[in-house]
Amino acid sequence: MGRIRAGTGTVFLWALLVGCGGGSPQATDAGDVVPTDVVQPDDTPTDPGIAFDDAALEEDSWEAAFQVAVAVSEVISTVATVTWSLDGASVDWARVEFGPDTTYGMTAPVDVKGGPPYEAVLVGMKPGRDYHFRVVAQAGGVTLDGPDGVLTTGAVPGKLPGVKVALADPQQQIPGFIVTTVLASPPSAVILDHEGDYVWWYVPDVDDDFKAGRARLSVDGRSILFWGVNVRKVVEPAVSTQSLFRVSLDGTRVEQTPLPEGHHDFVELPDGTIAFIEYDPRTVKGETVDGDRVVELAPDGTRTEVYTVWDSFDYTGPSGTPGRGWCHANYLVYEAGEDAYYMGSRSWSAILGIDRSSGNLLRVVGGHQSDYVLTSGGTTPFQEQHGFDVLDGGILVFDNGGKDMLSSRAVEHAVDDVAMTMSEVWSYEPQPHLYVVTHGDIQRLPNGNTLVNFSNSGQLDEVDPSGNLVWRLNMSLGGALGYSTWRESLYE
Amino acid sequence: MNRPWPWLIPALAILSLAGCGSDAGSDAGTDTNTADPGGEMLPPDCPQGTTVVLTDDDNYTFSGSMDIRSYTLAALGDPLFDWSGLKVDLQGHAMNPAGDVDQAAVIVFTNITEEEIEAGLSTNTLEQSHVTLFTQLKTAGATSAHLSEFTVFGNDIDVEQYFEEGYGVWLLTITRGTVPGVGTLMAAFLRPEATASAITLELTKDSTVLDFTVDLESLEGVPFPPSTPDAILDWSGLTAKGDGMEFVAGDVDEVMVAHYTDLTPTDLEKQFLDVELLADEVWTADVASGTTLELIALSGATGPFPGIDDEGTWLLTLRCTTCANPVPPFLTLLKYCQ
Repeated sequence: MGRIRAGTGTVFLWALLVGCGGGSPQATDAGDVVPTDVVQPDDTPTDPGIAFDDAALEEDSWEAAFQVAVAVSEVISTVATVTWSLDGASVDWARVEFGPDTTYGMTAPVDVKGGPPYEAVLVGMKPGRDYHFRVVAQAGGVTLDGPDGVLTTGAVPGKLPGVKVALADPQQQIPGFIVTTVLASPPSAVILDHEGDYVWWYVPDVDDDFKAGRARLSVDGRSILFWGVNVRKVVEPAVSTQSLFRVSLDGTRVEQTPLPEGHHDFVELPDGTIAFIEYDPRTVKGETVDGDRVVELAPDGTRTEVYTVWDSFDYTGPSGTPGRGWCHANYLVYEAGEDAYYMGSRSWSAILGIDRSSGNLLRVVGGHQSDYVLTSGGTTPFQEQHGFDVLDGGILVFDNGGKDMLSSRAVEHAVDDVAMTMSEVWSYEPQPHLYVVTHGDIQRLPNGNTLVNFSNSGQLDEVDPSGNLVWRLNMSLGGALGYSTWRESLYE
Repeated sequence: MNRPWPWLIPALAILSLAGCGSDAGSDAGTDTNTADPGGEMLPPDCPQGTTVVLTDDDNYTFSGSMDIRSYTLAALGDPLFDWSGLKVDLQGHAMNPAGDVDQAAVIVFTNITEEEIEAGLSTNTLEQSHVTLFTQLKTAGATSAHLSEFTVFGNDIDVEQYFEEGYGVWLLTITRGTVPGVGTLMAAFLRPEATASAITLELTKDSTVLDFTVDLESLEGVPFPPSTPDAILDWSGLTAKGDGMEFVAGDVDEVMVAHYTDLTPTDLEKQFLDVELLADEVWTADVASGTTLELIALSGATGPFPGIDDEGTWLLTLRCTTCANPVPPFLTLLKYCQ
């Protein structure tokens, strides 16, 4: 099969006339386009093996020309953009399949609404590898397979810390991608695959106080959003470069929205609204106290305060954790089913449920003001927690543990909203134990396993329901991680 | 401006040089040159093409061990770290304790011994999972600091509450620059003990000692074509670093070529920590990624790298400026060829 080969930072363009009776390939120069190979008509599939809908399409219409170009991003050398058109045909839908061989395995969507030329960004590829790709399009009810092409991805920047998958049980572990951040060395947003390879990265130009704490794939699938942790001592200014960064998948477009008082965590709603935690300092008896609030930033720039802790809690003095603020909110979840936010408070060892529309406090889970009591007694199901995952009938928490424990763990509690009780149903502690003072994240995976992110220790563990470790990733020295999100695909 | 190696943990050098048996003091590589019928040494033939391919056989050898001194301090106290009297850094270079120190860091390791940390720092094999706390302090001209002043990226966790016997291995570093892990000027282990009474640690030039062995004289030198601005350097085939550990191509973030008019490889062995300082001229280029470099990218104080000649000694290094131990993973001599 004829192939097109493209290398990092170059653009390869070819035109393929499919079954057009010996028509010559049309290689078009596009600036730094360097065609190195051209698919010859004889090399191309002559029949895509599909049935034609005579009413919608003449039998030979599918033989219209595919014109395809591919460019490997010069910013992120594991990302490529495929641009293509199909002469003489109106495209109903299309996708680009890509993978390490001609079985492909990954699929990038194509938005055909805007008409040609169409574009797909290929993301999820490993560095320094050859990847095959082809366009698959439907025109007039007929599915057409484009020719196979090959591109070569580039190398990972040396300044990113090393990654090692120390253990993997392919039978039990679920493949996918981890969207996360390297906190400080260097502060960056990254995506790792389940084999520990960087498939995406962005290192912003920020001051050295900026520590990258959260990255998420945007809801439209076109960008990575990330920002800094922005922890501050009471009264001291926040990090000057704290912003929400929106980086296109190919790294060529970066938008920066300054949110100087935002900190720790944000989440994007389905309509593109960004909800985030923001400092809410107020003066109480001459003392400046950092409270926290949830703020929404709509796509049109409208800003709305949803909730502030000052509406529900009275400041009664230092929390016992000097320097961490009063509440020290540190994690934010949006639950679409109940249109509610859940915001974690480290200082209170509590998670607050907040009704989005009214701003009312729905519930407090954990801590001295918990609405729930443990069936085993007390109201402290976790201490100084960070990440959590709201489950149906329970909650999964990264329990950092206090000074008395010196060990962090994953813990799941069943929550009974009638009896107002909580009971521990599952937990996991790694061997050897790790004590993570800041950050830490957790996520229940589709296969029932749990991904536990020991952030500052640069270790990710995937654990099955029985507590067996089925996958472990370790970062080299300097590779402290921020929050993380597992995704099966980088397109959904 | 020339810079010393940006060591993390290295080194008051106690040099135990290997490969110093030769007293010839001549350029490495001359032993492979050929003699014409009249007896004069002729430069070797240049390789075909304009790509200079580096191989493991071209690499120098390096081995080293690190000895970081331990200081016993009163547990659960708020010890004072004082570097006001530190006039010489790890590399034996004069330093200003107020002006040269930008940041101090206290790192707490768990599930690992002091000896394993020393070894891991030497070989760049430590993992982040060994770190349970990383606290830092911008010194802003100060020459001492209490443990309680250190924060986790600005988050004041009252680190002194953890300073107790049996909780991890504590390492203090002071650094030039604020990039974690880079530019360390001195380091020391802290040992909190319940029965100890000391509350002050004074860093000295002996707080960390490096004993290393380096061999440059055995290098035959890589034939290098003169005046070839379009030449490409290719290190894609390297598998081992100078210390024998695995060569990780992604670690290389800088290429440096240095020229010494009057110094021989033997001279450079003896002053290995200063090879950049001693150079008559240095040309460098950043490597964002990949395993090749167009040499036209190298630049120095006098402009682009002009290529080499047959005068003096030419040194080529592939560097990792962000590694815990930034001893170059690859270093070789360049040999003029025709």
